Amino acid sequence: MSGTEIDRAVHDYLDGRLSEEERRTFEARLEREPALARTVEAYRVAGRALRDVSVELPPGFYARTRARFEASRPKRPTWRRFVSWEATGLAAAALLLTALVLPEVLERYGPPPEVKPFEPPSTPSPTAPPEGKLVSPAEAEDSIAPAVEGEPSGLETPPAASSEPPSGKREVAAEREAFADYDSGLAERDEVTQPRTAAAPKPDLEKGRAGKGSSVEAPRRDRAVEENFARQKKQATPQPEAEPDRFRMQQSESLHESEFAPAPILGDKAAAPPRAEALPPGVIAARELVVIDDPESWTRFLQDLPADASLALRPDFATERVAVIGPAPGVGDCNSVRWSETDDRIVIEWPPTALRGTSASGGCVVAIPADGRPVEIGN
Amino acid sequence: MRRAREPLERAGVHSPEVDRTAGEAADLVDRIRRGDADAFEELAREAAPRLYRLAVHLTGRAEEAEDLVQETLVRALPALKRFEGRAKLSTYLVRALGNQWKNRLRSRSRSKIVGWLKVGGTDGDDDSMAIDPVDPAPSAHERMEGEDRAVRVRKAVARLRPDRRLVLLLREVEERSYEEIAEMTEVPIGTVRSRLARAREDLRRLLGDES
Repeated sequence: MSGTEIDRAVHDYLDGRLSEEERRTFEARLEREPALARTVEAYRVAGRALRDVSVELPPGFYARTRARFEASRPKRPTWRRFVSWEATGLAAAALLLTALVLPEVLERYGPPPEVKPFEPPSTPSPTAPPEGKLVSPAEAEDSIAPAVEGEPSGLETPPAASSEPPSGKREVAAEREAFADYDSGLAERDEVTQPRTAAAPKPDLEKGRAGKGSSVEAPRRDRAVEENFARQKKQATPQPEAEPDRFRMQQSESLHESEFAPAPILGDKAAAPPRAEALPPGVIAARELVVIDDPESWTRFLQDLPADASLALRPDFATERVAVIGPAPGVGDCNSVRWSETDDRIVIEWPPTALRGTSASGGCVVAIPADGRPVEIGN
Repeated sequence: MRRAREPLERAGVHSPEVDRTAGEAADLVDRIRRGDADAFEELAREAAPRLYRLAVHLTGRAEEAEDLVQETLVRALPALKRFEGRAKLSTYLVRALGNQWKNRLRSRSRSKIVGWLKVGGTDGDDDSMAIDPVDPAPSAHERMEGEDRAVRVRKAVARLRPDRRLVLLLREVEERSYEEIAEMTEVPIGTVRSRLARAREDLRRLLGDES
């Protein structure tokens, strides 16, 4: 029996998935192999510990749940309280009957009055939209106002309906265009503030976000980018590097080894993969990552901070770990940091402008689940 | 295989079981969909104890567990199309709770940002941020709790990876079969098997480390 087969047999045995014969064979094996028996017993004890934890519903649970249910139900409009479905059905039937009988009544008691056909004006209004063209309320108001006052509208003749998408599509197109502008602006700013080599690829973070379709996050990102842009503009003149004083973050495959001393041991460390491109002198890649997963290391970490460090975080190490990443050029970068997770890893995502900085004066601290998954920087 | 209810009753989880005819069940579901709070509470009382127990282990926190169960019941029960027996209802609600929990994890992963850490040097932009005093030492209450075995188990479970945690709890606490777990978590049985094996090993190690 291979290791995998034994492992499978252990769990099948614990879960009662072995046949009677297989179970007897396995139990005989347990008697022969004390190590295997200890493993099985350890699993059993862990499972029992889990089952034996007593959990009681908190007092008032049902009243609170009921109140939440009631609050979640949409309120019936007042008229619906007095109009039942039966009454609605009767009204509909009466209407239908009227519609069927009315032509016969009209035919019997006289022809309908002659209706004069509508004649369109011979010269169409310059502001009138072409047939089939959708007009937004704002456009309609614009087109009506000059006609009332008897002044030329000044509006150009709108293009043919076929050459332009419907208003809804136009809005989407405009939005896309705006985001394209935003992205190109972002790239330009990156070029201005943080020069990179011509072959340098755009950070994967951008692709990742675009792939997720997180348009909801765009305004927030935009604000953070604006902040960073303003800050970096202010720092356009490269400043001398501020060497971390007592606490230093772990430097991955170092691009600027001279700027970082070896990191102290602070909990688990997860080194991010090195960047493939070289950075200009004086620019530091934000690639340092330290993961702290126990209260003692966290205490030591806090003690090592400078007196004026700003940090608002109280991690619950029962369920959380702390990822310390940096350096970050400014406060706004931390506001833009996100983390995401897959089944087998946690990825800290940096905003594009925080990929590099000209200062090593700080970093960001992020609480992540304490579930043992490896952590990496995902830009 | 052991009967599912025995260990749960031993652990203080009592779900009232009400025998209904098909007509009564259909009426109950219909009333819930129309917003009848009595009908909602009737079914919630049947499902909540087990859901809450699972939620406490999943989230590791009583307050969050209550919120999770409430949200699950409030969303899932009115969306119930028909009552196909208690087992089906239980499967449906556990799956809803698991999905709700995973959504929360994802949402938290997008929004739980912490702060700026200044390490040496100077940064003029940092002045606006107040220094928040941090007290990492556990409170007296936490120290008392720390002695409790139940809390240690809960903490160990909370350190398991979410996907493994859910499978382990469905097997060990809910005592679901592999097939039921596969249905609830929407993964193949082979994945259930491997996640369960790894979760057991992780839990054994964590509880061993704690003791």
